Amino acid sequence: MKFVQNHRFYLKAYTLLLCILLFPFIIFAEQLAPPLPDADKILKKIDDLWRGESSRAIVTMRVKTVHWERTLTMEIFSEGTEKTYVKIQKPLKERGTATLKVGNEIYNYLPKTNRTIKLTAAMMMGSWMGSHFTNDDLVKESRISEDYVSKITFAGARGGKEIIELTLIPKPEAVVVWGKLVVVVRASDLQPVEITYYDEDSNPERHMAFSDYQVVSGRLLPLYMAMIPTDKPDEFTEITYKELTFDVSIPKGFFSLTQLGR
Amino acid sequence: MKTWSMAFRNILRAKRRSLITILAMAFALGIMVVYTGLMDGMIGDMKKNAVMLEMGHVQIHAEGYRESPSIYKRIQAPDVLLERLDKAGYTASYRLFASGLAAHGNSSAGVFLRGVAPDLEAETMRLPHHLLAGKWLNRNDPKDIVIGKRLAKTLSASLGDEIVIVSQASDGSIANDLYRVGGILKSISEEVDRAGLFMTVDAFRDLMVVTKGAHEIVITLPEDADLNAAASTIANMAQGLEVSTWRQLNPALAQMIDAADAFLLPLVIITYIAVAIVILNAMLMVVFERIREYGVMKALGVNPYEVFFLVLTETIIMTTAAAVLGLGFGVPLAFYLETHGINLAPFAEGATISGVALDLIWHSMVSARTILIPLVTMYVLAVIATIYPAAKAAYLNPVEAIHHR
Amino acid sequence: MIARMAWRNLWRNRRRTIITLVSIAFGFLLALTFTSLSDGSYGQMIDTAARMGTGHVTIEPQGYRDKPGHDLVVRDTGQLADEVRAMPGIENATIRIVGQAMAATSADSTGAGIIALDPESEQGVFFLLNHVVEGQQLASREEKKVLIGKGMARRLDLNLGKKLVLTTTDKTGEIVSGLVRVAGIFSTGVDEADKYIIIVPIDYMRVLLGYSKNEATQIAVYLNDRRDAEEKSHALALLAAAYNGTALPWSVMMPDVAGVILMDSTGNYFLQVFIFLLVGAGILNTVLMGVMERLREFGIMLAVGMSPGKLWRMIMTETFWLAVVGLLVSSVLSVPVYWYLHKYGIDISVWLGEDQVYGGVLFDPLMKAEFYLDHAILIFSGVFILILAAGLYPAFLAARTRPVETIKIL
Repeated sequence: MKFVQNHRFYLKAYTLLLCILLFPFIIFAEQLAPPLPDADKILKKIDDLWRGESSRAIVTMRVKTVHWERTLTMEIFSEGTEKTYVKIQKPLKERGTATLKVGNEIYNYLPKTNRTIKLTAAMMMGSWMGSHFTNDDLVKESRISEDYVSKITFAGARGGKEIIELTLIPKPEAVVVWGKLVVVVRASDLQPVEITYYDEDSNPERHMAFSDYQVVSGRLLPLYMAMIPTDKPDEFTEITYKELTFDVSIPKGFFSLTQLGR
Repeated sequence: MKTWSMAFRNILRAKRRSLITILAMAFALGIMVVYTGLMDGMIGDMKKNAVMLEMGHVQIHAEGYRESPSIYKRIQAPDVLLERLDKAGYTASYRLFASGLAAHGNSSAGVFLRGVAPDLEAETMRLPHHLLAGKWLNRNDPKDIVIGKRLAKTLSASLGDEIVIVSQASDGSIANDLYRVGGILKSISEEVDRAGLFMTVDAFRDLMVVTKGAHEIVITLPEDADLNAAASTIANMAQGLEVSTWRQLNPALAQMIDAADAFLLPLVIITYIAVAIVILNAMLMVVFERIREYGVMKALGVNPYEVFFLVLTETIIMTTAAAVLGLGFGVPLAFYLETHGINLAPFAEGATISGVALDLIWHSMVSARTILIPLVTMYVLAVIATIYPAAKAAYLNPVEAIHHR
Repeated sequence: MIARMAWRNLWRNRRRTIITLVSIAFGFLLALTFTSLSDGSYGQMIDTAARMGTGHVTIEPQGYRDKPGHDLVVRDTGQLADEVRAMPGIENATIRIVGQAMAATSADSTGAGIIALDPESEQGVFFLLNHVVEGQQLASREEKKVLIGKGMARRLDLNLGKKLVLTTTDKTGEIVSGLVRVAGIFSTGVDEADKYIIIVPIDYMRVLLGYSKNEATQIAVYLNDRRDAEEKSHALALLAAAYNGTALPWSVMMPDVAGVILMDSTGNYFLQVFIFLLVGAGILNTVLMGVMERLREFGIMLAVGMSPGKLWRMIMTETFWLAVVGLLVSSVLSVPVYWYLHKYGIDISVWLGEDQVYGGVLFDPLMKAEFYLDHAILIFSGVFILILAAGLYPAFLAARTRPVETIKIL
């Protein structure tokens, strides 16, 4: 049974999908304006706003663990919350490795062996060794307004900046591991600043920070985000957007298994 | 001297009676020698079956590896340690472990990757010899792997099929490569059956980008070595590493074997009682039958001590003859069973279990102990059995004795 | 005539007969004790294994052995279990769903073996339920509460009342997850169980996996007599076939336990042969001696005109009486000995290390005798035949001797 416990061997490429995490916040931040909106409405809008959108991005991801550090460059296509396609460009050794997420299912294409592998339930839930996310985040965060009850818990100056703090408590039946989420946005333009994930005893488990806010395709959003696990302060995962285009036209059948290996 | 020659003459006079007695005792002794050897062998075999399958007697891991395994918790310089162990007379080999995913066609399964040294494993462990199909790993075919029985079914893979293994290499990159199923194991253990995937150390290092170190060093001790003493010797060589004996590694198994061992003890006692009865019986019969003779001797003026010692001497002579005979057939038989063993397979009910990696051959284990204990037991029993009738003979009233029936 | 004469002969030399009888009685007693103690301890091992595992016989979906997965179910398990319980020789049958899942908390995640059961009907049946050391037992079949092991609690940083997420594949192959809370924590001392197993209410598991009300993956069947497992599994397989199920005896379900027991017990049967050889040697010795002693007497009988055939028959009849009386004495002696060993047993903990006795889950350090009628009959007739066989050679020897020569011998 040893191996199951070790099941955190998650394929590197899956982490790339974390980037989708970013999008809800990007979009909602751009669309909202003062005066103080209702917290629930913000979160509902996140999901609504995301629907029907499509995008293409070039992203670099740097992961640092105690044992290694590496940087990947990848191309990401997405359509709505359900469909995502990621292809690694660099490093050369892993070039062409592609990942497809459709709904709850994730497939991985490995050019070296020319095989496509479907992610199993066991891999979905486990956290990926060395990474600071669980793959489950990909599926779960897109339903944030369904799973959490939110309210504004602070509004005003903190650290010399005007911010709004939202606290998200999971609904009793919601299938989430967290005790609560605390989201901090800039009061001026509601751009996300940080998200902290807590366990049931209100101990912080991981911390996500956003920066480098820029206007892309007429939208303001942060092009940099970093994730730090609280119990391993020396480790992090950071994602930087090099290119980003919204409302691109993606051919029909692009998010399919036949397309995956091309 | 006179007693000896008289005793000899007495024994020879009643050839048939003496022969029966000697044969009965010899038979009992021979059986006891074989039995004791088999008894020792049974527990020995159980241990060997369990320990030598893949666990070894002693294992070395990096600090904390056992508590929570990680590809990074490695023994840094296994070569130096292996050399030291070799010099100390231990057989040792090293292994590398990782978790991964194996896929074939549309099926995939989580696997426990094990990088092993093919030749050393085959020499010291039983697992490499328990193949259902195909052959064990070979240094020269690093693309060949050996997988567990149920894993083969889960993956719908048979010999020669190509399998993809995917994992995260130790440098964070995606480890993935194609391998060929070279062998499928018989039932070994729940874990190996379901998720065991063996590859050569070289193939493992290549796949997982682990250039140095080892996760486990497995040590096999010489036959008669003391486990705990060896473990502490090894602990001294492996400073800063975790040294565990097989008893610590698998306490449930150790407990099971101890229990089986303890269960045997009452049975051994019962067997020895049975032997005691045979010997007592033989001696009682032989002495009681001759009470009349002793009466005559007493009547002729032989003193009680002399009668007593005469009877005892006869016993010792007969016992010695029985010892020669008994050891004569018991010891060779025990040695034969040590090398060839009894194949229990045809006798075992439920042939459905034939897939399990159990050596159903029962070997005897012959040592000085297994020969001396029965031998001493026989002498003691024979003497005890004689004391009462001999004393009775010595203090007999001659007249009564002559009329004794 | 011969019968009565043989009977009288038997008691003419009382001491010799008594020695022989004692040796027979002891031999019988030893063989019986040996066998019943062995039978008792293997029975104990099998019962322990059955309680820790999946019963003496396990009903599971057809094809499950080869490819276990949540997509295979036994239908209408409620009805099937009722039918099973109605069969003769069945002690109990409980319905379970077994499977695998990932268990995750905010701290960590780990693979888990799920055993979903009906808490009420498993009380006192499934061993893990007896080892809950913290919190409470499961209260109902559908509540979203679970029991986890101490090892898993440590790994996932879980306490009573805290939540964890189970993720697995449902009946159709879809990835599903559910939130449950910890009702109790068990500790068995067996690492595999304490680190790996999660006990879940069965109806909740059905909802999670998309099973209908009566679908399950396992029925654990407990028998009155464990030795019927093989035979009962065939009958149960026939019964279960209509429900998409099949039945397997414990030896197939737990090959490693079966292996150890098989190895040990087969070896034991050989040892029993040894006991028989020894008992036989003892009996042969006494009977032989008895005849030798009386060769002179036989010589006279032959000289007086008794036919060798008649003499042979007489000695055999004597042996027969010896056997009858011997076995009678043996049986009487065996009753208290067996009763004691069955009731109180032999405490082998003296020979075991302390820690192992307290481990307690795997073994009962009391070695108790158990009486199997067929084994007892085997021993009984075995000893009987042994005695008669032991008489054969001496009888032949006596009948063959020429009258005059025999008298000269002594």
